[in-house]
Amino acid sequence: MAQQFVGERSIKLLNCSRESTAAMKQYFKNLQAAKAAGEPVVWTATWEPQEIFRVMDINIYFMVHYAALSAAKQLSMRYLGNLQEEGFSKDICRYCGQRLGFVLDKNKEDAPWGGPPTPDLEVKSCVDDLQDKILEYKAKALGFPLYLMDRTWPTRVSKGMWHTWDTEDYRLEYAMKQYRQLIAFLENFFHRRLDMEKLKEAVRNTVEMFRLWWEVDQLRKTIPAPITTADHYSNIIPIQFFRGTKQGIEMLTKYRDEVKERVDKGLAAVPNERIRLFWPEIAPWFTPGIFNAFEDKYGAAFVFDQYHYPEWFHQVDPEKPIESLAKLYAAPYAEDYANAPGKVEWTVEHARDYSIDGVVIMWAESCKAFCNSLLLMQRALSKVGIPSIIIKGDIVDIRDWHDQKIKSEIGDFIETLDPSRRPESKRRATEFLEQMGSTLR
Amino acid sequence: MSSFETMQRYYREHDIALKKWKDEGSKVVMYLCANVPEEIIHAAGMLPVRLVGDPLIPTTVGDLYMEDSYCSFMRVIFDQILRGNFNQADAIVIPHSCDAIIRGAKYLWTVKDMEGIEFPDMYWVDMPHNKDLLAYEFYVGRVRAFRKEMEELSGKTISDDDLFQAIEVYNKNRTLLQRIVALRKTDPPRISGTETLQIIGSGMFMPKEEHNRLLEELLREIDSLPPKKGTRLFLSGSCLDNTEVMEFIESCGAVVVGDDICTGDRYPENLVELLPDPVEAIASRYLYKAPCPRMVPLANRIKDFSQKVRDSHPQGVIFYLLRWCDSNMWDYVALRDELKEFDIPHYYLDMQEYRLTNPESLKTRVEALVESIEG
Amino acid sequence: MYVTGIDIGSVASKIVILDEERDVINYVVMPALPSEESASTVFSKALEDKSLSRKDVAYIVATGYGRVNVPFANKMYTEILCHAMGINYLLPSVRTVIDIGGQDSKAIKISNYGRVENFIMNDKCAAGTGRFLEVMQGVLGVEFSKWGDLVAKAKSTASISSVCTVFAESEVISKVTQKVPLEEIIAGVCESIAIRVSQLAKRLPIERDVCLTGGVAYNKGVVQKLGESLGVELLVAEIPQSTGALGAALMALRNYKALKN
Repeated sequence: MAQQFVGERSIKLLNCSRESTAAMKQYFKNLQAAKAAGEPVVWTATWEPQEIFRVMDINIYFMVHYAALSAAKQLSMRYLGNLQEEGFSKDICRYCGQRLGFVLDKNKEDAPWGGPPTPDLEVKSCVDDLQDKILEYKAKALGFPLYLMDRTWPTRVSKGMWHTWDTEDYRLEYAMKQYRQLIAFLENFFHRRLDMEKLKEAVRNTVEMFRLWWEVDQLRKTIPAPITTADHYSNIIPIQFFRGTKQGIEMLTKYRDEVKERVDKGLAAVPNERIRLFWPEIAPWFTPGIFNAFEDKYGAAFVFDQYHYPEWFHQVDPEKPIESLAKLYAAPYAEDYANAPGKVEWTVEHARDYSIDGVVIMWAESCKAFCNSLLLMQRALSKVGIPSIIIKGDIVDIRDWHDQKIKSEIGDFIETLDPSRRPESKRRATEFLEQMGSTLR
Repeated sequence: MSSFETMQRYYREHDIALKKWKDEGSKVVMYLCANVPEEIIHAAGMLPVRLVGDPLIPTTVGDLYMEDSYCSFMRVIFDQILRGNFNQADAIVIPHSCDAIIRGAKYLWTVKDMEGIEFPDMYWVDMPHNKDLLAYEFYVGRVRAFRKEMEELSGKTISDDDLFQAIEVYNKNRTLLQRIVALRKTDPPRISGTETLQIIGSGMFMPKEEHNRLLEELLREIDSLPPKKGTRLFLSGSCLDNTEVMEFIESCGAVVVGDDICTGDRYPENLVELLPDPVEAIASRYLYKAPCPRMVPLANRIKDFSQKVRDSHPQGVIFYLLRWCDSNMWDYVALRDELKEFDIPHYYLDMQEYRLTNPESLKTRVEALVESIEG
Repeated sequence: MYVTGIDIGSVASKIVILDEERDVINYVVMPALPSEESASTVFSKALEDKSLSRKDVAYIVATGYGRVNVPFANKMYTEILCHAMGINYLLPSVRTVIDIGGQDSKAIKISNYGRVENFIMNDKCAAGTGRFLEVMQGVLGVEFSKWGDLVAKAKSTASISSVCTVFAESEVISKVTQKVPLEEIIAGVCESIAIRVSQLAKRLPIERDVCLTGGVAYNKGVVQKLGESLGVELLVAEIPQSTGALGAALMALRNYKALKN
């Protein structure tokens, strides 16, 4: 068998970045132990009300993490190959599909970290055409039930949509109804009661976590950047996987403190930072080293990226826990965040606020749920004078990652960038954002 | 001109009725996809006309704004909307159908805003993925909201009576079309797949009252249509809004006796059942009808597919998927496994262009399938 | 009397002449684009070789990409059916036929009578076809006949992971620049096409015996890597480029005999 391309790890500057993987590993071990002890285990997605499960002592796991982990362990090709042998098109979504490929694998002895425990139940909202179908195949293969909720779609577009929770009442009501139904179901299924006071506390914890994340995001505006995407992506573990918990707050507090310390001391992630880059798409999980690849040669730092959340997240009211959860997870955010025009707006807005010189947009063909509106983003950026480049790659599949070619293209792109254009692009970006939404019904 | 020829003409030219209505000062609302509750538009005194692409026109404007890895059907629609091909319409209605369709609508908004390209106002109608009680209640709310929007657009109040009348016209249309569909399944079939698409499709470009009249006439003359010859095939997959592919398949020694596409057998399925509240009645029909591949759970689609195959008694199945048709790509394995019960061969074609760009390749596959059946 | 099968492929026209005892009298492979002219030319050549004339041929079947360009054919069948028949004649134990042609690749499941039970084709993507190998040969400058020995000699296999022929070409060039031994690069190229094709074939799924046919079957490097990829001992058809034409000729014989009776 040929020697495949092996992805590069990223360079982490912060202690908490290194600790977060260990924390996740421990979490995983605890999960396996919980399963062995007969405790409830549920698979769900990050953008579901994690807090409900936490306060009911239901152990949750996210197969999206497993997809990223398998990719990092260079196992994607094998798992994706399983899907093809089963008869699925080779053009199905690889990021989501890979999890099914793992489930179908005939030899799980080398499963990373010993493999996730089979759950008692999977809970998910229908957010697109394919994820629920994949879940049905998985659930059938492993013999557990599936509980599907639903997410609604906006019926209007307005300016700065992704900035506000403000959505049509009927969407919020539907989301809240579904969450109440979910709670009742879980109470019956797992023979336990949800304590509303505990849920309020969990929501308070989540709110605090988003507030801390927001603080870090403000600190990242500093020039030169105190950290890069390389560190930031290690710290998504708490915000994505430990929401509602005190542990999550501790981890993010450490993160905020370490970043703040660097800012106070004037420490730059890239000492000779000259060029500031933005990576708005999902990362190639098998080779996060790409984020450090241009530091030495070009003084180019990836200073901003995809995991950012609007300020209103930490303004929801924990005293109304179900409403808060509905606002966070089921009302407008996901659709406005991942799709045009919201995506186009935040691309320009962040490019302005983070003093970006160039945007690197990775085009992962098979993932349309997130990887869409790319030409619209490019167009918007060109209107405000911020150069961008689209490179073909993938989130988990190394076959679509031509490392040398990609590095050489990005390198050439960086050489065309000019930091002296920043004030002008900022001005034009502000103008552009004011215009957006002005011609709509 | 016979009724069938009239229908073929409307299907080919798309805008005969549209032009007439506009000339008379009436409103026309174009809609994309069978998940839009047409009865509401009809009850508002406006003409619903389906948005379809054109296989002869290559995409140009749209390519500036839409990346290559996008559903080849929606890409064509997107391009044509931006080119102004539908600017005579008073509005465009886009449902939350599959991702490609509803996301395409978001692309349209963005382009309108950023580039100032004009096209008719868009209305989006949300639709749940699942069909439980909460989803139903939600959807009834959406149809009610849609009624209000159409009232505002038409400048006319839609009374419950108007709705009941529309339901009656549409139910009659569905009943007549179901009789047509049944004629595909006889042995030998009296109507080909191509003719089915034309007959059903023509009604999407004219008032349903007129379509009903033409259908009644056609059904009277049905014995004059010759029986069709060929290996019986069932077609499953993405929406086909023109006859290019169907015709080509049927030129390879096959006749397509059944399908599960929204412009074919599925369109007239499920009558509206009368309830005291006509909005609930309409919402019920559209939510609970034979599943579009975008609906969940997959288990429902498997059942429906199985029933349709059973009803058509084909000798083989062709899965024909357009480029990046996610719902169908994921459903395929389950449907293929379901076919084992029938012990008939199938061929799976995915990532097809909207236009038939490589007919030789399709020819070989269909002919080989036919050969393996005929022995 | 004789019968003839003509396979008008996208890069070559092939013809087989059979006698009534099912023996192969002659076969010809002529590189050509599909056209009426190439069909005629290859037919005339095959006849001339054996001092036969057209009136000695009772029945003609055409197959292949350009089968509609054979106006003098009595009947047409797809190359799927014809390859199945041809392989069944040459290697009766085969149940899975893999054909890698100039522009496409196919996997065909056949019964013990050579009937097609299932098939899968790839003609969208050059990566699993003869075209891929031609591009690589263009870069490396080594004749296909030498590839078998080189692959056998290679101590390890270079990784060519691109699914796209154009990108794979860049990978190969970069390996050459890095002075990776030639045999390892060639082994990598063979493995790459083997993986693509075996992924296609596994969807059937595979049943033994498995054989490789089509022009690429002459390339022993690919044969080796494909066998490894599938985990089987891969049989190779004799006259691999002509199995389609052979199957067409067998169909011609069958039809001719049916007419006689």
